[in-house]
Amino acid sequence: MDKLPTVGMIYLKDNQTSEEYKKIVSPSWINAGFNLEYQQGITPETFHRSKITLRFGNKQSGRNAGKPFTETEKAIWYSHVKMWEIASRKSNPYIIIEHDVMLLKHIDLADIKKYPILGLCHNGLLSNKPKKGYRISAGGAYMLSRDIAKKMISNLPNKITTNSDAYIHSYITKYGAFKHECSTQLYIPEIGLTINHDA
Amino acid sequence: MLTRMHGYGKVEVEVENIFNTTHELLGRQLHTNIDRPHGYAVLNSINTWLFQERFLHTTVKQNLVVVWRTKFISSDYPAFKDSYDSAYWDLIIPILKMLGYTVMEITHRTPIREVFSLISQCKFIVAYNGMYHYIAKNLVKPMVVMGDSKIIKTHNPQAVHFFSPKKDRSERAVLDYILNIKNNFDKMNEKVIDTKRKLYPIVYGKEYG
Repeated sequence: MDKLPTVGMIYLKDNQTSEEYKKIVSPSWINAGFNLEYQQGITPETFHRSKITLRFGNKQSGRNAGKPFTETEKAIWYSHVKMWEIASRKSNPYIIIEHDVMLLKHIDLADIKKYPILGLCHNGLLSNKPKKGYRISAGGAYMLSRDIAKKMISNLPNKITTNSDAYIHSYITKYGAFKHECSTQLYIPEIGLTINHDA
Repeated sequence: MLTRMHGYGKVEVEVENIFNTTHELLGRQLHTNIDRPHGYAVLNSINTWLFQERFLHTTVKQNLVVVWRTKFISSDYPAFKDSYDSAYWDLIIPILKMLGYTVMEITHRTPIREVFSLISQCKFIVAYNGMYHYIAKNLVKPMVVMGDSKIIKTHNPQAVHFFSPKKDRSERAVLDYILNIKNNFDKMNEKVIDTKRKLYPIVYGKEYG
């Protein structure tokens, strides 16, 4: 495997916010030589089409601990699970990115060969909360192998109590490595966000 | 032999002042004939030393952006030049590339002919206050310049100025400006035109435009 992995971007067709971020960040991946494919994300309106049904409890931690997951938080879970299903059918490692992630740096092929999962993204100055400083965004962009994708699906909890970021983060910590300087999530105030963490 | 420059650390080069040079850099026709026998002076708040007008008419490559930053400076330098640190530059360059620009980064080691050629031909410049900022000014190029000192306005009157993350509109103001540079370019260029309108009568003895 000496060629760059395919990149799958989760985006929401006909959602203006998602489409605008997609348009802005896509060249950063394409210009670096990646084959970028767009995958329709799951929305609250399309949960029922998912092959796997997820069961959600209340959130275990964070500022909304004890509260139920918002519809958009559930949608992100479903979207990532869909991407793991796609990755589990690929013969080569697959990079999953969200629609607002821009590539900053070269991703080392040696790392891709060495680890079954790599965390590739951070939040920082370009996030919607730059004062929070540099922090890892596990779900923003990550590379995973077919085997890890299968494992992540088969080990899905019976009742989900953490956000998808935490679940992905735990796999990167256990099996892989972080190269989070490679990409960053981009927030543009005039475009806004597609997720709502507050019910 | 200079051992110190502006009080900021040692320099490792020999500096030889040559008068009435026979060197062939740009045909020895680089500068206007404004002489200031009693040293540096500022006229109408603008340092008026410009290159010959023909160098201001170099054909612009619409995708070319020139960048210089403090990263490759090996000597000490004033802290105000680093008010936007490497965390910003590590985003600025990828943003420009993402927007489709060809980014040419120049350093103190870049041959001066190449520096002059790139700055002459570029669409705009993003830089800290230093290094080649007088070449940018003397060519009256569109520019985003960063540095936490009012002096940056004198050095580059034609530029858009960002001072520091704390002093500017927000800590990511410069990044937002660059993300939106295609829409901002017309206003950047308005500053260039305003500067030329002020300077042309003084330097070239005629109105601009």
